[in-house]
Amino acid sequence: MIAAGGHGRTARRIAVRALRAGTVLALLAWVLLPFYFLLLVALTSRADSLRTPPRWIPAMDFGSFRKILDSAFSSAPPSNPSDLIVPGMQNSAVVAVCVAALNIVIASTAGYAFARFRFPGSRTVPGLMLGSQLVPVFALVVPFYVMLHSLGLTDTRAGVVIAHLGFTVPFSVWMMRAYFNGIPVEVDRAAMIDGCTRWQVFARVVLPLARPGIISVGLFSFMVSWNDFLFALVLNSRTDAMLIQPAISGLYNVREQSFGIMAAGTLLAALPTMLLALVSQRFLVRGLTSGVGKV
Amino acid sequence: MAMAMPALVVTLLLLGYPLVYSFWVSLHEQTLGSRAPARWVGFGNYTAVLGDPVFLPSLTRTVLFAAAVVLGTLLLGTVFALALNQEFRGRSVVRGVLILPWSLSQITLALTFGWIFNSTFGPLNGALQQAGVIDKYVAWFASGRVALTVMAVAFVWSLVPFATLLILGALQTVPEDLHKAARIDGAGPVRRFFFVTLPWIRDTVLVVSVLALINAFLAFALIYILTGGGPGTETTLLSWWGYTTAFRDLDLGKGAAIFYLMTLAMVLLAALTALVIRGPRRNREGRTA
Repeated sequence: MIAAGGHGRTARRIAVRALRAGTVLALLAWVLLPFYFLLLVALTSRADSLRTPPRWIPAMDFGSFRKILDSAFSSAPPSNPSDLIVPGMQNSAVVAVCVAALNIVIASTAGYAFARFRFPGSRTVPGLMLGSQLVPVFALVVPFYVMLHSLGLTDTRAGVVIAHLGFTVPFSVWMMRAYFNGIPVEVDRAAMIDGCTRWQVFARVVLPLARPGIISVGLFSFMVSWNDFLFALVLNSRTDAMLIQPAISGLYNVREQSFGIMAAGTLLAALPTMLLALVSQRFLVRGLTSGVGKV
Repeated sequence: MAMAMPALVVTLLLLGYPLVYSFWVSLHEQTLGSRAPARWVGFGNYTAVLGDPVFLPSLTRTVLFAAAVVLGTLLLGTVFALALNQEFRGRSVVRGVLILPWSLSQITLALTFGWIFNSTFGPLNGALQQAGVIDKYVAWFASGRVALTVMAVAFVWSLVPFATLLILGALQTVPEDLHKAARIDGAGPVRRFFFVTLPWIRDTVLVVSVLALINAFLAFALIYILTGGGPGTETTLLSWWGYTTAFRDLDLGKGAAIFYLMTLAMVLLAALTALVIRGPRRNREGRTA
């Protein structure tokens, strides 16, 4: 093709720019519209939410949020699904923090071992651990139910913590190993020459350097645990041990349908992971891509 | 090595053992909650699964559903990533927002799309009617085919942003020289995309496909909330069938057999993908994914 004249090129550049701007706007709308619809109905009074066509501007009615939060301060036993949201968030917070803390301890030690030492399996095991990501969690539900039931750990938070470790630890080990691999061995050697023992090298020198890895492992396992529905549903069905995901799922098919409470509960339940994801986007994306990229 | 022990113990005890145990369960007839000992039936549960009239239709549905989710995710993820691959004001804000759908749980996703597609009060029906596209509200979950499409849309919605981030990351490693050379050779933007960009980001595209595939294959919460597998069994995917077999019909052995067949399928698919990714990489130098 002969080069187009100056005008043609400018016109083309404008067209390309408009196309790109349109695509970016479409992307934003694609991502944000569902959240907007949720927020809209969460901030609408019960009567208003039953209007057709719906309101498009939020009425700023905080009644739904208040109803959910009020139940947290009443001593009455839960009578509505909405009463289970705050306790569910508390239960899930305990479970997810435990899962994250245990993941950090277990994965940082193992990740270091796999990154620095040669022992039987030190090459193949990490690959298998990454491969374990492909095991559908469904395959684990039946055995976990039977195992935890025989130990008397169904309907307890400890039981769910144990189950969540099974499918978070292997990937965490893989991620931590990748981080330790990125820290030069010379760092270890220098510290040993200065008189550190292996444990001191690990705890005082290498671990602080691997802080981004530790943060991504903690975030990743917290989010997996908080967002898990299947195990939370099957393993904890009693109301006093119920976790947040089954708790909000109870809001959907209630006879006394209140869409505002469903939306408010959904947003509250999603808030912790959304905030964590926004604040730590860099860590998460880097951690996860280093995990999936290097097959 | 002592430091790796806790991780190995956790993995063997909480992943390896359940997997083996689940296989053991799948070889037995065992009813959930009954005190009766499990009865050995060999591969009886597997033949029961394969001979079940629900099996083939739900396998076909699962495959079609997964294919739709993978294709939709790749297509939109690539388009969006290409648009974000240029400097413009506010790009970091847009990138930041992309993580939001990915951070949601499957239940949140189901509740959100259940509301949007609600047949009487949902905003979608309202908007479509106001725009004059439809004159009567549509019952989105009344037909299995439409319901599955809605679920696929929800899945694609939740996966596209993260796919965009991964593909964008790969796009940023494409050397400018390759594009220049192709341009000098007279290749237009479309040909440059297919012959320069796409081969370069191929591994990432495969990884994104596998991630989307796993997610779609394991779709469960959406069905639990939105359709319960119905009407009839029209939205029964394999995962839902396994769950109801084990925990509603209380047939643990058959449920475990369904899950085990799914596990095998996933592992085979993953091995295949790993082969595809690994194969040609040896010939390429200086490339980090």
